[in-house]
Amino acid sequence: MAERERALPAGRSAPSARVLALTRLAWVAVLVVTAVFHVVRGAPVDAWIYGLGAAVLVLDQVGWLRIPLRLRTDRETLSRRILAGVLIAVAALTVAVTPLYGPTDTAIVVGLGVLVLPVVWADRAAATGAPPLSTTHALRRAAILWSAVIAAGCLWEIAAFFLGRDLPGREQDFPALSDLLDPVLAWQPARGVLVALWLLGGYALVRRGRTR
Amino acid sequence: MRDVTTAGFVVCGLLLAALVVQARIAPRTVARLSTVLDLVMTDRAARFTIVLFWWWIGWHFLVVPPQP
Repeated sequence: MAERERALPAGRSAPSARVLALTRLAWVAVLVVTAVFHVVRGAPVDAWIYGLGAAVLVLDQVGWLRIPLRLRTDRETLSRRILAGVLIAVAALTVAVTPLYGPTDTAIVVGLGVLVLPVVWADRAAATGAPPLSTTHALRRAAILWSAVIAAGCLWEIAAFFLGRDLPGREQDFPALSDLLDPVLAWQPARGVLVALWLLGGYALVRRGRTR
Repeated sequence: MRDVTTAGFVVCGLLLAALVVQARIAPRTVARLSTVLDLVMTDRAARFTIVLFWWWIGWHFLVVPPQP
C-alpha cells in the first residue's frame, strides 16, 4: 500500500487508482489460477505456495499487511556484482555435486526464498528519469508479445498435462516440460549450468524495477 | 506425437529468443525485456508474482521429485 503512488517514471501520468487496483487484481488472479492448476495436478504444496502468495497480495492491497521495508537506491557496485557472482557459482557447484532433491538443494532454494522476499517486498524510491515517450509503443508491443508467447507456452504445458492424464497409455506422447528437463537435470554438469542460469535470472529479476 | 509436443516447447523458446534479438536490433520497435520489467516491476504485486514464479522453478526442479 505504501508504494501505491510511487515509482512511476516522471513525466508519465500516474494510472488511476482503479487501473492500479485492477492490475493488482490481475496479478492475484494469475496466482489463484496457478494454485488451482496445482490442486488439479495433485501438488498440494505448490498450490499452497501460490495460494499463500495470492493471499499476501490481497492483504497488502486492502491495507491489512504493513511491512515497513524500503530499498536503498544506491547504485550497484562492482564488489556487489563480484560477490553475487561468487555466491551464484558456489551455489551452482554445490547443487551440481550434491544429490538431486536432497536436503542441500532444499536448504539452498528455501534459503534463497527467505533472502529474496524482503528485497522484493521493499518499497522502491520514486523514479527521477522517464523513458522517452517515443518508446511507449515499443514498450507496449514488447509487453504484449512477451505475454503472448509465455501464455502460449503455459497453455501448451497445460494441454500436454491434461492430454497425458486423460488418454491412458499416451503419457509418453504428451510430456510436460519438466518431464523433458528432468533427464537433463540428472546429469550433474548440466544441472550445475542450469542452476547457474536460474540464479543469474533471479539476480537479474530482483534488480529490475529500481530507479537508475 | 511426442515430437510434436516437444516441438511446441522449442517453438516457444525460439520465439522468446527472437524477441530478445529483435529488441537488440530495433529497440524502438520492440523494447528490451529489461526495459519492460523495469516499468512493470515498479509495482510490488507484479514484482512479487514474477519473482515467486522464478523461485518456484527452483523449488519444482530441485526440491520436489517427479511424480510417479
